[in-house]
Amino acid sequence: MSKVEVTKELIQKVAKNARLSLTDEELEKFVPQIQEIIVDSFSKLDEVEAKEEPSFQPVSVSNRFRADKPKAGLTQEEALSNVDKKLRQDGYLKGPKVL
Amino acid sequence: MSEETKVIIGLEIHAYLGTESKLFCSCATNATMPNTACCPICLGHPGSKPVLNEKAVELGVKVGLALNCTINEDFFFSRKTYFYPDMSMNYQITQYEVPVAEKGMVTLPSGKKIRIRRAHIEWDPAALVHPSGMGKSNYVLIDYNRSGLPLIEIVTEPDLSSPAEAREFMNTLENILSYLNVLRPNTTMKVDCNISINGGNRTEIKNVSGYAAAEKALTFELARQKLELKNGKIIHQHTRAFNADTGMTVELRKKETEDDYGYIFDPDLVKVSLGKDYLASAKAELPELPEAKAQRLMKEFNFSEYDARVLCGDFNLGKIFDKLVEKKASPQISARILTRELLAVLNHDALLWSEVSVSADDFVGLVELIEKGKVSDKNAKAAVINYVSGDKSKPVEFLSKNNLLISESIDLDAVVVKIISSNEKAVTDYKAGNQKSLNFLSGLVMRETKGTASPQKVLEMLKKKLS
Amino acid sequence: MKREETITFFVEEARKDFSIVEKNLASIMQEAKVSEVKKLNYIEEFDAQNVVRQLVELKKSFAAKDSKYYGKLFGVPITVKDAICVRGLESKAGSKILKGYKPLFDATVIEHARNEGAIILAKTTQDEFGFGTFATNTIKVPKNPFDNSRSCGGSSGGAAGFTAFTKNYHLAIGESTGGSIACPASFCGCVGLTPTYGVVSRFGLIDYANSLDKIGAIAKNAEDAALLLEVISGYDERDSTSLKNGFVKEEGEIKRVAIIKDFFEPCDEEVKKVVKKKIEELKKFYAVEEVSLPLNVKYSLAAYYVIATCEASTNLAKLSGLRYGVQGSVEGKHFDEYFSEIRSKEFGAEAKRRIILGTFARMSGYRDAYYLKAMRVRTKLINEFNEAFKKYDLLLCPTMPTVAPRFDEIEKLTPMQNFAMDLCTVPANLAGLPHVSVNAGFSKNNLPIGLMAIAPHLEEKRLYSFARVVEA
Repeated sequence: MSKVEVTKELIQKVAKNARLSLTDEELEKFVPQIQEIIVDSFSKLDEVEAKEEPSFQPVSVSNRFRADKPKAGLTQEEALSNVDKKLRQDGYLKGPKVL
Repeated sequence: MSEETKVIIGLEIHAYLGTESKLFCSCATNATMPNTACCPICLGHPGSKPVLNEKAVELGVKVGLALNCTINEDFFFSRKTYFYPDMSMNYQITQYEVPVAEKGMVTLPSGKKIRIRRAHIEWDPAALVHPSGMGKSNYVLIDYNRSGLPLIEIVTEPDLSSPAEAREFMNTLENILSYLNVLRPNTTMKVDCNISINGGNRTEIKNVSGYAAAEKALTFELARQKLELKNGKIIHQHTRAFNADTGMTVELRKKETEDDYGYIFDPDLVKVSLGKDYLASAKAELPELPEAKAQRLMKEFNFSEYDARVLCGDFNLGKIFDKLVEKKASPQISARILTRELLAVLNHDALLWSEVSVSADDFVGLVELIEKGKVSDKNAKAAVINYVSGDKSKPVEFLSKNNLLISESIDLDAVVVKIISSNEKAVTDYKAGNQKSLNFLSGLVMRETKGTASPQKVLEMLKKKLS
Repeated sequence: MKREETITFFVEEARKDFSIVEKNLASIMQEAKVSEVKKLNYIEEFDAQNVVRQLVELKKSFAAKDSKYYGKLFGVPITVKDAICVRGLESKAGSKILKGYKPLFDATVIEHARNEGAIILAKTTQDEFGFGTFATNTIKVPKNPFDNSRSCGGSSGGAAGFTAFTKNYHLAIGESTGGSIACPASFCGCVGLTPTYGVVSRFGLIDYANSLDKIGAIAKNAEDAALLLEVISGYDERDSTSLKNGFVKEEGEIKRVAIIKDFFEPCDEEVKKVVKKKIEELKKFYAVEEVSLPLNVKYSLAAYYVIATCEASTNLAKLSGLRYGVQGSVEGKHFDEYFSEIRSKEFGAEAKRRIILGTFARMSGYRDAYYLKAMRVRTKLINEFNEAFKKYDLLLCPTMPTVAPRFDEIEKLTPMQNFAMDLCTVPANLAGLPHVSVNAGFSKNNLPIGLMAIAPHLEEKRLYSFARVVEA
């Protein structure tokens, strides 16, 4: 796999995807730092061939289920207890608009 | 454009699985007041962890088997990360690389086979309320009761070639899923519709609520695309929404940030390994599905393929039929009444099963009367129509109340003789070769018997006496 | 180590005389206050009322001689790494963005501790979400008790710092993703015991990287660390990755051990000297050989950072100003704007960098080469360890390549250089292997140097035995 070009634009695009608006100052600082990590560390993985199955977890566990029995959840007050008072309305949470 | 337009349609259908608790937590699946069926897990509270509902897996496997899919014995769940106010964690737990089922097939009543690409299990985000209507609200209201409900997503290959065929597919799918009894009652299917014409780019109409709306959306979009092409424009690939009020699709603003989902194996969950025994018993426990049932009815009762398919093609209709057979009503007459009369009035008045109150018990008497020749087809039909959308009285009651039953006391022979003797001119005309006169005479007999006589029998008798 | 220094001893005495509990608690509360005044920053905000309430309840247990009275940790004050949820106590995982978040539940480890009669004293400071080797990516920076101008190590800096600082009976619950228990234990001269992945339930742990996070114990001695691990471990149906085996504090058999040659190489001379000297002494008890783990040396840091940042970037997506933590005004704002505003303001630089790295490494086009590749390489690296464990019961190396660095030295490091400091701890963490860091000795300027032992999966017993031998 060819060496990835870690440009300022790529980092900006990724940051935006993650809903991070970086200031110019931050971008200037981050770009070389991130480049270094991707090129000198991440891309080391290109050197080694690995046909093994992926280990998504280091210790293998499978088939953990829960019986389909409903249990009482939180009260409305509890569910909203960590929500700012000004973001509560008639038992709903207030959130930002979508259009 | 005088050539045939080649239309390609693919569908992604989301349906709620009928579990008692949510997919990854024990919250109840029904609640009325907002935010009263939630817990730290479906609220996405830091520190909480998901645990998989075994029933959801069972139902997912059933759906896969019913759609003739290959079930993946080993599968897992993935995180699909994107940001939206209805997301409790800004990632959806879904399936990506290895879904529970793939490569299936559904046969339409027309005989055409539609390939199923995959079926997978995922959870629903929260419900959003737009306080001043969509597009006009300054903020949204979020209800997490819905957050975490289990969904099955069924994806077709782009094998459908018209909005009508897409509707046929959705009806067929809904029927199969009803037989399986895996869905949450009283919920609507959500459909993402993809359509392209003549090999051009496809547009996607997202999140259409219900099958009727999906067909309307596709019909509109097809016409829209045709018009665009006619005006020399090129269709570019994009996403649209369907406005049920106006019946039109509208382009959704292209987001500045097109989310790249960046799927990863969800490391809070573990692999599911079903094993061959589980799959074997799941297969064995499948209920009789529409296709198999149609075959059985054809064999058992000698129904035509067409009649069998119609009867099995509607789950509720089929249930009534089963009950009637159970109550020893004539299968042939039951089938006829249900597929011809009942289905006809439902379609004619565009009624949903949820809007009518129909029970097999109320048909038993009617079927018996027909069997004994005590009611004409015409009046039987009227009784059914009245039962469904008239004053809703039971068919037998309706018929006796309105004197529409053929009583033994009517001497049909005497009536025929009477009409013949009082209509010399018509008799002469008929004997001279005028068929219309026969119908005229028959009509008079029917009127005399208040329509209770069997029209075939009347014609038979007239012909005999006048020959 | 004398018996009177152990928690077991304290608990036995406490059962005879409750004033021992009260005196110890009063004294440690005083220390906590002092450490705040001196800006040593081990403790997050302290809720004295909450502690006193627990004491009152415990006194009732003493009178009633109930199950808590007979608990293994009766009367013991416990500090908890900030990322571990305690009901009703602000739990921020060291991040500003979670300010105000008060969990509605106790983490499973907290439930276990309470059931055994422990008192939850306070939360300890840490790098934001565990992102750091020096506990400098923090809201307030904990200072090494041996030398206040130096780091405590990270990310469980406050836990190890306070453990070394206090003169009272106390236990610390820490957490390790890439070495965050072993590192601060090494820098602060404590015992840091990290179990096999899955032995301790992660329910209630605010995630860094779900396939790497392990809750563990930090204490003044091996006996105490093992006791705490025994209490907090065990199967938990609320954590799907939880293993059926817990940890039981008993001796494990060790015959042959091996020094991991390549991990020594990049370490400071002084570190090498002190650790090698300690290992020499161990030759009385075990056969000591050498082994090489070339694949781990070359690739474990890369694989670890890819996996850790990928998982972390999804875990942190939920922090967007809704439901908990810092929230703003939503009127008239589109969600992209609202989310970005809060996230950009409240996340620290290291968190932002790791989110970007992790989002990148799982993006389409890069996912195969980085995320999936790292997972395959992980298998390779676990296999390399397992090969070595066929011959050896434990693998040894220095915990950290240096002694605790000064804060001004740390400032000069690039993020990449920071990562490189984890070269000894990351391999075991990536493989989910249990490991312990024990103090091996001191540098010329009296700074602790840790010796680390790595055991195969589920062989924590060997670590317990080993650590006791090293301490003696």
